[in-house]
Amino acid sequence: MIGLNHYLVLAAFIFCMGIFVMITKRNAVGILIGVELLLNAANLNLVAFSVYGPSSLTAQLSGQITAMFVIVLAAAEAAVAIAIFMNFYNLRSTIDVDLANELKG
Amino acid sequence: MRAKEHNVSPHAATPQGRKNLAHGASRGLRGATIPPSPVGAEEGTCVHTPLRGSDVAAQREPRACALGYLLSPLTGLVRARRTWFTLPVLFVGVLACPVIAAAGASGPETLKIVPSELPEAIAFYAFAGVAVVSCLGIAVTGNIVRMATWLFATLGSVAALYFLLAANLLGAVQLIVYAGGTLILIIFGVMLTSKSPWARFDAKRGELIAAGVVCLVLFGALAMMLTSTAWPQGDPTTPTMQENASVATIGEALLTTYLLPFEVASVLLLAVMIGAAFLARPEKE
Repeated sequence: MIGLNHYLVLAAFIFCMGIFVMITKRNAVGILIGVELLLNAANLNLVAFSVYGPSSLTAQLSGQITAMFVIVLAAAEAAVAIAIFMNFYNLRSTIDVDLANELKG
Repeated sequence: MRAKEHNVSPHAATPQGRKNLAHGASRGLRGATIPPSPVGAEEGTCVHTPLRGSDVAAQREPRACALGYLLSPLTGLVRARRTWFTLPVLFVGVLACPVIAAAGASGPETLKIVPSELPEAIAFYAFAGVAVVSCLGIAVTGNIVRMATWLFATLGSVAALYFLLAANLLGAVQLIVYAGGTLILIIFGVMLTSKSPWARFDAKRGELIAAGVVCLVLFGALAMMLTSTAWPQGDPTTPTMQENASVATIGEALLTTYLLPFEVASVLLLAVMIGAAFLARPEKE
């Protein structure tokens, strides 16, 4: 009853909400939260295809393992992004990305 | 140098300070006071004040119990000053579940064999509903702390969907690493980069409308493309995911087939640790 299309459309919805959050938020950490939504949607897609798609062993494994590497990379990227935001906040006393309009740092 | 007592809060020196701590005041709120107990309450009894709405501008006192903090994202949505924007977004979100259902019904029959399909459908719609509402909460709210709370709900619901898809190790990794690691990191970032917890940056109305149109068009195009494509289906005679992709099998594959990405990820994590520690180092005076 619950097929592949259910998971794909749900992942597409989360993806579009992630893009909306990335576009409309002025807080840099809010933009990072949008990036996390994007990555979660892609992971959901990967795992849904690994379950409902071609069911050889390598196909099932590769979906899950790729999703796991995506989680690892998301954590690493969040760490570096937070470090950059902290530097920006210490320099400019604001976390508003609309005020990040100078290359001088 | 005098040895300092690090495990005694400065607020615990006075009786009022101890009462404040007992009522849940954080150690950082210097000079914060709890409103006097309601008439009739005695010293030492646990008093539950009624749940207050999240009045953003006047929020100064901590809540009486944990439920007050959990409900604040919901009350924040209801009391959002931008109701012209909140209601259409909620309407779109309520429509999203039937869209998902219709999309699922239009696709080819799944060949996956399940013992009974109704509990799976109920579980999927419950977790998908939570994920949809949480994403809308992140999009609508302007308070960064509430955004992190909604993100926690999103990550939890996606982990539940992983468990529903029998990707057990991935669901556990999602809860441990994403919800328990990355989200905490984001909350640390929020704490270290905000002047006040109630600060909000709002985008202009034109930007919100343009972004909403773009994302709606994108979602429509993706949904149409996804439901009209004939994805290659699986073979029902092969073993199911639960037998194939168990934790042992994934561990073995990580060390044999996927050894190179595994080692590269380790090197990447080392580089990220060094880079982040260097970027966030204290200023040398």
